Amino acid sequence: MDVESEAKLDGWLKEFSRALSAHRADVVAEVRDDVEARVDAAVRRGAPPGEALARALADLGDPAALAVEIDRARPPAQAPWVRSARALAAVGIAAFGLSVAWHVRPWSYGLQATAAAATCLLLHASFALCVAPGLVWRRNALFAPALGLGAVAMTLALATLGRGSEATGGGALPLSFGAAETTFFDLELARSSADDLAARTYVMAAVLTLVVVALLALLQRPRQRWALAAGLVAAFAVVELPHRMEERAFREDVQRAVLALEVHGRALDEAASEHPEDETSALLAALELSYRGSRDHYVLRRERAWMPSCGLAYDSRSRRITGHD
Amino acid sequence: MADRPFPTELVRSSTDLVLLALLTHRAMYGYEILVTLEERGNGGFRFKQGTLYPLLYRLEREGWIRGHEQEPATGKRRKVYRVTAAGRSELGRRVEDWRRHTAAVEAILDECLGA
Repeated sequence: MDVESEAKLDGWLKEFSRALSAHRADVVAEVRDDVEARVDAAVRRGAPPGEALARALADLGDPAALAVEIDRARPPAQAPWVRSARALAAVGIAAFGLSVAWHVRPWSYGLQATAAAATCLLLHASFALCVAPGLVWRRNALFAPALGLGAVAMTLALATLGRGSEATGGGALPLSFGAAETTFFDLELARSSADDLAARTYVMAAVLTLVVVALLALLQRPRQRWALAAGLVAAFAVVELPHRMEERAFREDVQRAVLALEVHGRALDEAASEHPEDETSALLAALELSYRGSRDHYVLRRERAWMPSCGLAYDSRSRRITGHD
Repeated sequence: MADRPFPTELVRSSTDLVLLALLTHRAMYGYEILVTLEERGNGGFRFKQGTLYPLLYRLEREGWIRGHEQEPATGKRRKVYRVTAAGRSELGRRVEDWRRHTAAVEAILDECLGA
């Protein structure tokens, strides 16, 4: 190429380079090589260099538009070590989120704990999505009406849930019992603070759901979107299902125990529970429920299978099941 | 004499297939791909240079082709593209789909328009 054509090509490439979202010398060099090869071929066939270059640049189109297309097709920061670091960070964040959700879930009972676990998962999922390599993002996904409506519906659904953590286990029991030492769990205090926490947890879960749905909607490739959504649901299921099944079993066992206590018409104390001839004691032992009673009310308690430092408790006065640590 | 270029929608539906097939044959650099496509396609495939790069980078991101610097015996060092194992699998699937598709279209044309 002649000097004038060279300068013209330099100008075009400079504009192209500026329009790219990051400095990408390899892309610019590739375009330059191809343009030079094309111009050289045209000049060998007898075309004037200036005209050959003009045709080549016209074929390339607007430098800014080409830069946008290239950024979309191959985002920057694709160096292997950057990709590896991002992949590690994404996996680490996701694993940390799963671990936190797993440890938060057993603290309390029912939907409140579910929301707390979901919040942990969603918070970390949004971070993990932002750093994960290889995801192809698009720009106009937020305008997709179906996705937008879905996000709003999910947000409203989560925001309106929130009083489902109560569970009745049966009627209050008229107690007659011996010298059992009264042992109370601080259920009232735990419940009142948990209610405040629940409101914040549901709002947080709703907001984070919106964020994650928006991030998933911004993914261009449906395969990636659905794979990540499925992964998120699977992670949630891994945390939620064991605890939900455990709570369901506890609730059923409490119902059986309360029924037995009512039928026998008397409460058990610790001494009584050691007598195998007592049917109710045997039942409570079989159900692995620990019993603490007073004249006014009693509490049935069981440790969490997946987190022995946490437990589930039924309080006969409030007729509620609660979780505690 | 070269034929007139295919309609855009026809080219678009077969671009990935054609590029993968071409790069399976041998590794090529950008301008070489343009020239070869035009020659082998009897002028039917005329890509603008500006449309080629996003196509190549997309295929590269899908993992179907891989670009690497190659220094030939003569000439300058260039980035050339070749098909990966995943690309060959994808090409196999697409060739099968394409043949079924063209056979179906041919059958309909034969039935409706006569052989």
